[in-house]
Amino acid sequence: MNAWFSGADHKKTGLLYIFASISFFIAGGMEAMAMRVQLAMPNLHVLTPQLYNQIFTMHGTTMIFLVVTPVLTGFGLYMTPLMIGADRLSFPWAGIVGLFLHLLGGILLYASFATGSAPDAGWFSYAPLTERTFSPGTGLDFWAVALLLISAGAILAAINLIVTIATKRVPGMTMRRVPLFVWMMLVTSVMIVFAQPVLMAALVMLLSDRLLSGSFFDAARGGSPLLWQHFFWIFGHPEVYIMILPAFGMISEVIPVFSRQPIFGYSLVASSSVAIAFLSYGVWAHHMFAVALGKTFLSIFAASSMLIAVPTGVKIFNWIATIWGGSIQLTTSMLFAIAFLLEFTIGGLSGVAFAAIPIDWQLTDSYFVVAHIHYVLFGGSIFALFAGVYYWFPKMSGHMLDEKFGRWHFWLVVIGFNGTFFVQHFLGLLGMPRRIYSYPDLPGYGALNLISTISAAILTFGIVIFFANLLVGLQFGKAAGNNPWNAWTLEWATASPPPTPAFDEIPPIRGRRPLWDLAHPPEESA
Amino acid sequence: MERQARLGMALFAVADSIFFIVLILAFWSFRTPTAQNAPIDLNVVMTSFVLAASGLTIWHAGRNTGKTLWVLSTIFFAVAFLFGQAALMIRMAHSGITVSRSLFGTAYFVLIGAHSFHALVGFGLLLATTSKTASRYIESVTAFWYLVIGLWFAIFAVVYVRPFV
Repeated sequence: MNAWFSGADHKKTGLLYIFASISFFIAGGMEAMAMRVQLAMPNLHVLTPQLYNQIFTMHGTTMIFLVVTPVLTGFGLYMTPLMIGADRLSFPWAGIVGLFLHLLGGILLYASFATGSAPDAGWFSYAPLTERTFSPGTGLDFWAVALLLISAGAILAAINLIVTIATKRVPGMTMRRVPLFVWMMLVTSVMIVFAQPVLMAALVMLLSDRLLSGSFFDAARGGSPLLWQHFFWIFGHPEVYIMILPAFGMISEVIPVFSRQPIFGYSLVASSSVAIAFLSYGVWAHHMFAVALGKTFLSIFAASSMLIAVPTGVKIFNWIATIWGGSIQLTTSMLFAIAFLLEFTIGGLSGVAFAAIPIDWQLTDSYFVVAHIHYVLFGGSIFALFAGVYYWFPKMSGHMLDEKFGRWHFWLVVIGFNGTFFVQHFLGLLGMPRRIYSYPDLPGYGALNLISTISAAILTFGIVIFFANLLVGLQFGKAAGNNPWNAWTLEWATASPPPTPAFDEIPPIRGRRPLWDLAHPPEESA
Repeated sequence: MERQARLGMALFAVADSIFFIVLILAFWSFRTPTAQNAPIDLNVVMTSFVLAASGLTIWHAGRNTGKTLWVLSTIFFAVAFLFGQAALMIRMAHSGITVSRSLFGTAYFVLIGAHSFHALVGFGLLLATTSKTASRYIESVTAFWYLVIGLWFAIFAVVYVRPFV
């Protein structure tokens, strides 16, 4: 036990983040299914309206703060030191303290169910609904304190990763040579340091309003509900990229290895991410287009929101160019990476559509938005995570995952995911509002919602297969060896699972692919 | 200070400053010509003065070999600052301005309170460094205390000086 919770081993700390995220993923997934059951047919009353509100709030909060963000942090803590040839993180204690804060926050959030009033104001918790007048229960207090703890943990982990990447690279591992996953963790961590405190300050204000009868967001007493929206989205939009950049990093590791070609345009992938990081602080108001903010203000944010699609698009072309002409190996990991390119592009395109203000005014608060966010967060981040899991599971466990199970997992998830969320674009265009717990039998509503719910069941079945595959793999998977994929980055130069310390001897770093360089020694000068 | 600790503290300072910038922005956004103000008086000036003095003493503690005395004087000034801040808030409350009674009160008390909390933590850390085991963290604690001082003068400018300019 002590070995796990001492923080001395960054791999164990990373795994604990991943285990915690898997547990919360199951909770968040069950909440999603509860919603889909309630929405399966018109005029159903499986859940009470009150419970429905609690469940969509908990689903969003869980998936964003307790699943996607921390599971990426977990991979970051596990892989970053290995990839740069470091034996540990800069601050091992901060790794474990951050984890404890994170877990405490997660447990506190779920403890709110026991009080009978779980938070029910959405994952964005708009004022003035969150003021005590309108939400007298304790749920939102739990929500705010939980997010404060989770945010503090996230900042600790981010600082730890930045300092580790800045100071603990082996000689020769310049910033122009580190694996792109490390680049993405660096950019993400810097974004966390700049964005998370904004949320924390807003949460402190919310708590002052609720617990000390303050009036920050209370319009009746001169406060400004809009101020919450500004602060929340100044945090919230960078948070979107915090959840996708590490996923981009995973894709940038997986695609070259299974295409047997180095990444096309390494420096473009890295620098476009830095561009995304900067731009992501200047687009927050596109979440607020329905608020009367003034023409100039709206136009500026519409333009910046369209602009941010450019560096993202650049990366898509980088990955396609990496695959182009390669000897492609269609492993499950690669399948998920290719599916990621398609699904994420769909989500990206619906995102650009929203940047056009008239379209946003038409579609805001409809199921079109729900479809969009799931295409980028599930079709994007989670698909990339699946690619990453199939790629790194052999390294982390020492066992291979079964490819046949993997195919089943892949196809069920692709069919289930698209079936669930693609139809929601149409529901949104038909005018179905989001966050409603029941709907009348309008033309198309019933059929499309039923397709969505049945597909969600298929998706769930696919995820069950995935977990079964993990458990079977841990027990019976065939031995992986050091480098089953013939990959090129440093984590594959050590045993699987990596011992502590991971390296007896680190291969000399002469380029971006140290293991390739090792296998192809430079010829003596001719 | 060691390179990793220095970089770590710098990043923490960035995060913490952003936290305060957001609180200050909220305070700022609520200003109107008719809004209440915090009066600038002898107490505010003295409180700020002792904090500035603590900056000088801790700077000396970092340069001199006989550092214990300098650290102890810093702790003395830190306590004086905490009392001064408490007096500011109590006087404000006596004049009828509280968190719940007005928007200005909400923004004022949360901003000053958050800073007080930082100063209190800083005081605890300073006290801890006088022990043998924690004395090696003096450079990190010094960096934190500089942050507390810097944040206070930013708040001082916005809360106390701005109404006059």
